[in-house]
Amino acid sequence: MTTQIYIILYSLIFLFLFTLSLFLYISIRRFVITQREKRHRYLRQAIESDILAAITSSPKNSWPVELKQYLRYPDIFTEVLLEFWQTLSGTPREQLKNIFASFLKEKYRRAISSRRLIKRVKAAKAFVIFAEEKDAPVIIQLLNDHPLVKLATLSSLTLNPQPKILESIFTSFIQETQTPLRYYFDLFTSMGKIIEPFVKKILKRSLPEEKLALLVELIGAIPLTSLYPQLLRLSIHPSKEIRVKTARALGNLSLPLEEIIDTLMLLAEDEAWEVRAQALKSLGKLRAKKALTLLAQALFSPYWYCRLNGARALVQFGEKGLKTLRKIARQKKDPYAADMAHMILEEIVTTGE
Amino acid sequence: MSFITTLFHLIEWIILVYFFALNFLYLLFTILSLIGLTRHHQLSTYILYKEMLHLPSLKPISIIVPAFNEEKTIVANVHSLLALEYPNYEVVVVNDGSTDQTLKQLITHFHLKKTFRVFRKVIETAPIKNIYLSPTYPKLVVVDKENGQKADALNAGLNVARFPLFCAIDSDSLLDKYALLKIIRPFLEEPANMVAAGGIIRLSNGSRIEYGQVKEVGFPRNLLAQFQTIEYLRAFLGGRTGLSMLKSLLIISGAFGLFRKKEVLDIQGYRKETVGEDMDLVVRLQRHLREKKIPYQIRFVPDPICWTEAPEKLKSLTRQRNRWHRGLIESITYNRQMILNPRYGLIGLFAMPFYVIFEMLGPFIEFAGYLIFLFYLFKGGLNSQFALLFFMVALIFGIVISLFAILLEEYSAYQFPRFWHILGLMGASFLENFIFRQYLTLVRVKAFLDFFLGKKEW
Repeated sequence: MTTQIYIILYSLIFLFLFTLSLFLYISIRRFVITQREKRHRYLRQAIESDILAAITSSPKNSWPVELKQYLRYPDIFTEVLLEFWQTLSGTPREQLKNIFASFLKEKYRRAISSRRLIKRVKAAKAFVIFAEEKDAPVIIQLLNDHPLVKLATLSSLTLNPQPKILESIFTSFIQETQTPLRYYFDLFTSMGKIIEPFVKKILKRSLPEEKLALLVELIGAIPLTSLYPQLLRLSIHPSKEIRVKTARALGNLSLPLEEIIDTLMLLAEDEAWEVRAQALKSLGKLRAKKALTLLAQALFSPYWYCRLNGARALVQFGEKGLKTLRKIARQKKDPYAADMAHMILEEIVTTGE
Repeated sequence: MSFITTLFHLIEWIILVYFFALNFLYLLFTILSLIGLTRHHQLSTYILYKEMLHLPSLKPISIIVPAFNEEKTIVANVHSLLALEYPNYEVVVVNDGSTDQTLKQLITHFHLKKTFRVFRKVIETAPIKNIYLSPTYPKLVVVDKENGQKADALNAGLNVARFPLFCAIDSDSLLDKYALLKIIRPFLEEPANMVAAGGIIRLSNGSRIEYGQVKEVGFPRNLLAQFQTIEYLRAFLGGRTGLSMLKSLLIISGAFGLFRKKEVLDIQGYRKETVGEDMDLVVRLQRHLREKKIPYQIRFVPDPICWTEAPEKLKSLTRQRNRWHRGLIESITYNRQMILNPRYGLIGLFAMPFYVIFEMLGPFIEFAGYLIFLFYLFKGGLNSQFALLFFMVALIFGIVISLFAILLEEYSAYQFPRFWHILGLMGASFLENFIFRQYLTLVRVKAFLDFFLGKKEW
């Protein structure tokens, strides 16, 4: 019994010591963090004033030696450079880029190849912001890295869309023979509207069908609205695949322009039923009133998908479309059309009538 | 007599092994969480959420808020949801046939107007009476429907929601301003495979709240809320982070989770026959994806925070825990074919058995342990070896894990700012093991019986 009491006592002592050390650890940790923050603030102020002095007084590429001492604090140094970069514009930005190149770039280039993910994420952001034209291959390497590194790179590219670097990425897309093209689609979609001029330029070239289809899809997915004339031209492309994608992209642009609606109406009478089905869907998205009759006719198509998309498109017109659907559901001439209209009317719920 | 003694010894050993295994696994989860939280914390330092606002790949989100008789809190909570930092989202409030002034409050405060709106009814729900939009708050959609309980309201919200991702939250919960930007992160990292992500639920009892935002984290004064604070820290920061790292997450709290809508619609949304619709959804989702051999990921993210008020009265706490436990049993029994089935990978081989043994049946084993302890204590002739080991594995080990949860809290996004808060948490870690823990065991045993007696009420 005595041994057991000892064990209980020791356990309680252990618990007490464990609690005490935990409390001490938390207290010391908080103290260290507060002190570190204080020092951080002090160093930031010093670096800020030295960088400001450097970019206002020093001739290009000749930086005061004071800046060298901050190499011991690369994180704070970079943080200040990035903040200045966001605040300033024009020539000072170039000077910041030069400071980065002179003092920190090599360090970050090494960090990009590090095994540690955190190091790579940290390096990606600064490296991309201050990147030069020749750094495009490194950026492509970053975009192929872990999703987090890719995310950091993309976020920096979005903040600082450097034309030369984006151009290099597009050049690599044109020359690409190995990497799955879907990868580029994800990448370009993430970049958003900043890629508009590059897509426009690249569409002037003769591209393999697969790459052209990807770009058409991209225009609709982002969407790149100013590129609709390019899509209109592609609506008569000999490839059925390109015409399908063009019809979809025109709908996704959500631009109810006369010329777009006319083109979609033409595509709704295409020889391939896949193109027709897609065009009907897009006409519904655009709520093109002049296409109402065409959409109603689509319910009498021998193709199930054309009937389905035609009916769903009619729903987009609200009460007007629903009236047409009810009328088709009541007619007895074409049971297939009536069934489809019934199905869609049951599928939807209308409120506030 | 010797048979009964052997049986008692056998039960004693089962109880000891159970407590040891339970606490050992929790310790493992805690260690994993410590690694995961440190890593997440370090990575988050380099991801500025304000910068993420510019990312074109951020998908729009529909926040679905089921509301039933919430007239006192609904307006403030909707206001706080409308003020979140996220580029494109809508708030779909589903008034689930409230019998109080919930709808009237919403109509008056947000100047709602009835609209003609057409949507696809993918999931069957109780009839929708009207849909309202607000000219002054374009992000807000209010669905007024007949009562059909929470799962039905969520399904109605799913039918009406327009965006590819949806976030289900409780109407009495508050989201941190950047919660959506934080919870979307896994969907940006793994856009193809991520189907669901859960955020952390923290208790707002004792905190200072202004305009629907927690301005200062505080420590609750109510003893029940203090015990629950420790429980939540242990469950979310310890348990769920650890289970998520082991790819064995089976619960995303109904109070705050982000899901890809397509996959949820594929399984016909929330199941109405259960009171634990949140766990049920995640289990069925994983079952469906595994059966279809679709690669997927479900992750727990430790920094997007949803604040909720813990019950401070024993009656409401008892009702809540009874419901949770019945929900858990319903989900497990409904998906029992997954248990120990290699077809479902780690979920079938580890997560489901873990929940069956330690969550579903656990209370019985714990209860038996306490009974034996009491039996010996009153009858005399206490088996000192059993008593000592029980004390070590159930109490000491349990307290150590709770203390570790405080350490995890120190690495989390929102810390208790004052030292007396930490001392309070430490005190609660000790005290919760007396009466509170035993009471909850009893509640869960009763919930088990209620389940088999067919109790369905909330």
